[in-house]
Amino acid sequence: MPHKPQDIGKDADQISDPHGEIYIEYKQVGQTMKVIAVDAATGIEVVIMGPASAAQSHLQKVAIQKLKMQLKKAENPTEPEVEEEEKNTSSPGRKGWTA
Amino acid sequence: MNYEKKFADALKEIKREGRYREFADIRRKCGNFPNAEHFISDEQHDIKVWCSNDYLGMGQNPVVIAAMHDAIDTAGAGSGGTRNISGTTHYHVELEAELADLHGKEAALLFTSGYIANDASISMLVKLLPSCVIFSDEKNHASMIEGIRHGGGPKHIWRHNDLEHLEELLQKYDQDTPKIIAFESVYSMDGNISQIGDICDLAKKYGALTYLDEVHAVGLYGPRGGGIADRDGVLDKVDVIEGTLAKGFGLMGGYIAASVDIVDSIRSFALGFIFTTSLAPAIVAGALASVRHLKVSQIERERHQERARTLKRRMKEAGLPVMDNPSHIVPVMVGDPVLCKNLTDALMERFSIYVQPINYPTVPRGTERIRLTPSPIHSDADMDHLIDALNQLWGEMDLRRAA
Repeated sequence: MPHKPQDIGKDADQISDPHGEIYIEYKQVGQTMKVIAVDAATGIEVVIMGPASAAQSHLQKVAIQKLKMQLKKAENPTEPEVEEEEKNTSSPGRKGWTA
Repeated sequence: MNYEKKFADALKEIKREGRYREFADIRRKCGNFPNAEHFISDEQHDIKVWCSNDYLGMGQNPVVIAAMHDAIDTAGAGSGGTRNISGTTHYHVELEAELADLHGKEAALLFTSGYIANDASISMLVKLLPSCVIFSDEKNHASMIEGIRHGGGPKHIWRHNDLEHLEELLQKYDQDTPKIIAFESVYSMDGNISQIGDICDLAKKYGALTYLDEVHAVGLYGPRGGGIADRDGVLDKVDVIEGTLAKGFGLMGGYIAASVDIVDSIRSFALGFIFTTSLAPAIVAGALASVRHLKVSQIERERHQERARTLKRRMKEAGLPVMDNPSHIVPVMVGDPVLCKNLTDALMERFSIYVQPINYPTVPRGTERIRLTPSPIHSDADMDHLIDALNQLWGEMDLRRAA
């Protein structure tokens, strides 16, 4: 059941995305707009900064894009296991590099 | 063999053609852009710079300069090594995260220049994708062309900004053939802009990866300074974005932003990334301050666009042959390499205005030009002075005026 994270403001927008429910909160400090996007299902959140004069729809799109990348990362937290044989090969057809 | 004569003859030839490059010995004045000093013989003169790629004057921005001073006091002068061997400072890590965020990508990777970023990244992408075919816009920058050449795979050159031609070429290959479409957002010598979204749609249709050079747009366009792709709301459609820290951001260095796996592949295999000392901490700290500043500040971008529009309008009114385009670049056609050089020499010597002539091979022969780059800091009085000088010289040299 989606839930509103405790630390998100009362006036946050709730958006239905194909991925699920997302809360978006805008905090203006002077000329700067801080946009917080929170995935309701997991509570994972991201922050982006932009000019306060920019269209909210644009900043929202950027924030949601960033949230989706973060969710993708959370769904695939570990690297695929490397075969023991591959571990010992620096690069196909190379003998190694000197830096 | 007389080696010295061979070199001397090569130089004599480009001098005869009027395209021998002479560098102006200048020193910019801290906090007083676009003013600089010109050193000639034992003298120095005050000049106005009208050809800098520090488009927004961020190289003189107090926030940037303070960050650089602080980094030197904190971390010293150099990075100390390659990225792999002690040269990955915390500044590098922070800047890469900031650039990934700027372009809406999972990761970013710094290079010592935009040229190296293109050469190293494109060549390695081609090598990592067996049988990969590159589709390159005919006006792509030399660094992209070098990257394509070093990649060694088959290539097609599509007519500049001609999407029908691009599609015609893409249709020749199976969906499964690996393909990369390499193009720029703002073409720096003509100032025209590509249709990024449409090109990405074609890429999707034909199963191609997109590689977009945004060096003349990052910092300058988009609500957060993420370039034309940011302005057009199509950041998510582009696979690899390449940018520079040297123009809109006012420092030096280049970068790419892309998925974690693409960035990690280039980090792991690209020789131009691996075998060079990393950028100095002060450079990276300054770039970090610049990127962060331009992410939230629109004033520089708005003023920059206004200055470019005003200069173009005023030059047209004066009958000067400005090449029309939708960007901040103000190219003025001369059409002859010798006249172009004579014009810029006279601007410097008689009017203390510094503009570099743009000759072959940077532009095709017969299209030699001057390229003006008004910044947010160039004043109306600076424009009066420039236009008066150009008008006078245009008459004296009997140069072709606008139709």
